[in-house]
Amino acid sequence: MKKRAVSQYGFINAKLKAKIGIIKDDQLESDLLKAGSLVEAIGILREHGYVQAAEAFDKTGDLQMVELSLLKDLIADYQSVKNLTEGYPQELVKIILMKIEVENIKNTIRLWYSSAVHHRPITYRTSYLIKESIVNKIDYISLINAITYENIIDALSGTWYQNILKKFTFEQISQYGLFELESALDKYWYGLQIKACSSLKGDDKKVAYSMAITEINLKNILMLVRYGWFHQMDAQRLQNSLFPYGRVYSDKITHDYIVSNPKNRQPELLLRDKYPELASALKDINPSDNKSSMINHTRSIEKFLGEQKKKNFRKILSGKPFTIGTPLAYFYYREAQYYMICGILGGKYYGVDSSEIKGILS
Amino acid sequence: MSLFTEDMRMITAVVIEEKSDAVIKALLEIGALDFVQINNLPPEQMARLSKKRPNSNRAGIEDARHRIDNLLRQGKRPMPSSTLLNVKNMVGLNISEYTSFLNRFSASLTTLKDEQKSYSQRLEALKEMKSYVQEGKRDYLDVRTGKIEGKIQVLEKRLSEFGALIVQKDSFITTMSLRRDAANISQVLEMLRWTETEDGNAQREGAIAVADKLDEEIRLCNEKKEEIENQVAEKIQEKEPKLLEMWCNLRLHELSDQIRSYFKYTNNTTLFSGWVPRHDANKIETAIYAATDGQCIIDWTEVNEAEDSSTIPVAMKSPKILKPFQGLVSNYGTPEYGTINPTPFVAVAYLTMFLLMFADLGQGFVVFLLGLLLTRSYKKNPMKKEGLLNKSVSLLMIYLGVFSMIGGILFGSTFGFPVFPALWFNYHAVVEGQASVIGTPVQSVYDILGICIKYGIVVIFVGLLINWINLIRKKRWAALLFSSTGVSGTLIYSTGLYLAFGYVSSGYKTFPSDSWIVYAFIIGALGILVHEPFDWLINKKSRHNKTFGQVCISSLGIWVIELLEIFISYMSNTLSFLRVAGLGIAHVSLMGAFEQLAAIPGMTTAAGILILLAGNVLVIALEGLSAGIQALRLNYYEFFSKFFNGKGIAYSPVSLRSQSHK
Repeated sequence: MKKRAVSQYGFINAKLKAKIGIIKDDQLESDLLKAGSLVEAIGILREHGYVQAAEAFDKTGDLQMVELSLLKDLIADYQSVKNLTEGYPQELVKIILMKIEVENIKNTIRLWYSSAVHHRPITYRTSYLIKESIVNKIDYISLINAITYENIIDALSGTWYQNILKKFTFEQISQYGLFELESALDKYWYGLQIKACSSLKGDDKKVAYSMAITEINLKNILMLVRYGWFHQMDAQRLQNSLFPYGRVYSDKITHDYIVSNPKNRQPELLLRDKYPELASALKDINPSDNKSSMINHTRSIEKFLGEQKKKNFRKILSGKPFTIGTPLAYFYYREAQYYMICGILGGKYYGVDSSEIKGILS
Repeated sequence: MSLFTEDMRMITAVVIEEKSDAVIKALLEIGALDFVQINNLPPEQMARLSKKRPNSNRAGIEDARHRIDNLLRQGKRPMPSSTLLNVKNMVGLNISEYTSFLNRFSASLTTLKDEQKSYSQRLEALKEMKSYVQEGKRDYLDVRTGKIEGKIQVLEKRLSEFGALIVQKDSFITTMSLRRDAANISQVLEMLRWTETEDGNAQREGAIAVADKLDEEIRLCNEKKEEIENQVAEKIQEKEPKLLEMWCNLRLHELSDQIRSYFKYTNNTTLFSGWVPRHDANKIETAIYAATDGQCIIDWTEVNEAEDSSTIPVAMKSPKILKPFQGLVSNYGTPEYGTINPTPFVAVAYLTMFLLMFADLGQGFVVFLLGLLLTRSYKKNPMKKEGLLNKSVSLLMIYLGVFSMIGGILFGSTFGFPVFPALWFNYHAVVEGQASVIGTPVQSVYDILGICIKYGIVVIFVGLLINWINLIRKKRWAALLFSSTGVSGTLIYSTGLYLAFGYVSSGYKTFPSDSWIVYAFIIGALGILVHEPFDWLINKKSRHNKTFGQVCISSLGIWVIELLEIFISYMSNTLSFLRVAGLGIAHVSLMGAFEQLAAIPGMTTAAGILILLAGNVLVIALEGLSAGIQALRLNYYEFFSKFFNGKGIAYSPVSLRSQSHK
């Protein structure tokens, strides 16, 4: 087993650890924050080796084209990791890559929804979507040209997305929006991830499973606070919105929280065992505070939970070297870097002050 | 050129504060002072000094300079470098003025980019329609021909948000849009009382006209997009002189601030100190006197008065032609102050090693030409980005090419062929076992191995000799006499060599049995044993609170290990030079293999030439690189380990050529 782990991960993990080291040491974030404008920020991207993204800006002047180029880089990176793994670990990497595909499909459906339901023009906006195959073979051209909901379902034939979409009707989504549909896609994807983690063996299984469950726990906490407390969602909808895995989902405290009167829900009860600091911070907040302060509170919870995730990945990196933990940590750092770049560029485009961008990012 | 590292002096100067800016400019212009922090004065005097300069905003200056870098990079302009700096052009700095200029300029570029974005978005929509036209996917398109009640401009305005194309031909209007927007388009058309025509001719002509318009619009959008891209570049180019002027002023202020950070102040005076090479001392002194109109006090400290000689910065002055070799030395480390500058020795050792490993007149000429071309390209374009291949490597390639050519003449090889008789011996013939037929002075590969071992021994002895000279200059007598690289270690090594050569010359049968051999080993070994105790006795600094007894006991403990280490390291260092022969033989064998491949019966002349060409390219690329790396390795591990500890501090004056953070 040990020998197999070394041959499986020896090369790829050494390579990814070196890449993680570069990401961690990189001055990109501080350099980008210092840029006086989007044009200057693109100059910094070019200096840091993101030549294709910078050229996309040179040719179009369009920030979303830069983001698309960065996303394509990210996909190529994930695909190269997938090609360097084999067996069940490769299957898990494929599922992780599929998360980008899920987001791309969600974005496509959102565009269609905006045109078909809200009668908004989508024209050039489809050019910001990935149209190449990521994991599944999908006819994106049919998908973006869908006129009816049935056209969308047909365009996704042969994929699990179709089965999920078939559970909904046009009337349902035009009345209630895309939340339930998107949530169903996410839930199915998390199910695939858990299944892929369960197929792994030994240390791989332990590491991957614990990371997946931790993420689901954190997401569920966030939803319970955001929808159950701030938005005071009813018990049934709140229960349905949760991902059906992990300790938080099956906990009795969670159940009590959900079934309690939405006005009397106390999130500190959810958090006090696992995250006491966050629980005491939430104690003094009133859900009837104004919207912007609620957004700030949600952000601070996200920030806290993000920190927990970061801590877990740091722990993985300092742990056993020949496990799937390193590729998972790499995906985490790489994705964080992608969002950091997009976040700062977006901030620069809208003229947001550097310190404010930094505050949002951290 | 001095054989040793440069002689240094330390200046300590007191100038009146109002003249300190002039002094900074003068020092920056000369660029020879390696500043030191003044902190060894008595506490009561230190307390009276301050480290102020309230108006300095170094972070702000650096940020502004980086912003200029980024703008120039966006305009694909060359990055400014220190060659543009001139102290005489330094003017007062108003950072907020610079920042607001940069903000304005940046904003004007952003406006242009926004305009470009709208063309780009329009183009994307048009390109999508065009792709469906080209691929025959008409199902995704919605083309209608008909009439409206009202003005066409109203229709154009209403449909523009859907990216629709509209043409009017005679009395008919044709629209082209994406089918997915058909429902929305229909709503607009209904509002304008659209009536679809049944006239087939009108539909056909309308479709052709709208397709032509699609092409025309794509062309226009592309042109506009590129035009704006060029405008951005032109705008940056237009402002380049101003940006460069600002960049230079910012950089000069940055460097001035760096110098100022070493200054200490009293109420009216400024105090600073630093090391300077002896030959620049007068220049510095004169410049300070001139800048202060003589209102200064200058004090010089000599090296022997310095409290700690290990803090003296080390400057190595080598002739320009040895610059790439100085780079090889600096890569390894900095020699101690006052020791021999290893650069010329490295140059000779590196080049001769390469010669022995990669000897070919033709291939050497190719390496020489490549080096020449690369050097020329760097001269032509000083801003060219340097990576693995850089100015220093390209210059090194010229030298390596020349020495490879000399090797080719010595061993009679041109692209692997014996075009002319070898000046020394025919390497190919020896490797192929044909030496006795040709009658070369070297008969077998064992002779080649022997030559390389002897060459290695010479290199190691040169290293030991350099070490002795360094130790004598440093007055480290204990190390000179009793260390593993001193007299004792050398005695053991020499005796070992005598034994080894005696054994080989007896046909690997017996070792020499001279009676002095045992005494030599014993003296050498005892020397190693008494090293630490002797050092304790003559050098108080080396005692480190240890008693003589403690030192004796610990010496006894490490003695056996050190002796073992001497045997192992000297033997491995010497045998390591076998790689010189190994690579040389591999080089010849590879070329021989390609020659045989090219001469396979039935092979056409063209195919044979191609094989030889590919073989030469492969050998130049792989063997050349390999020989270069191995020669470097032999220098670093076998040669440097005898005399070079890399503990020196590199001389790093604040000058116009100082490296910026980026």
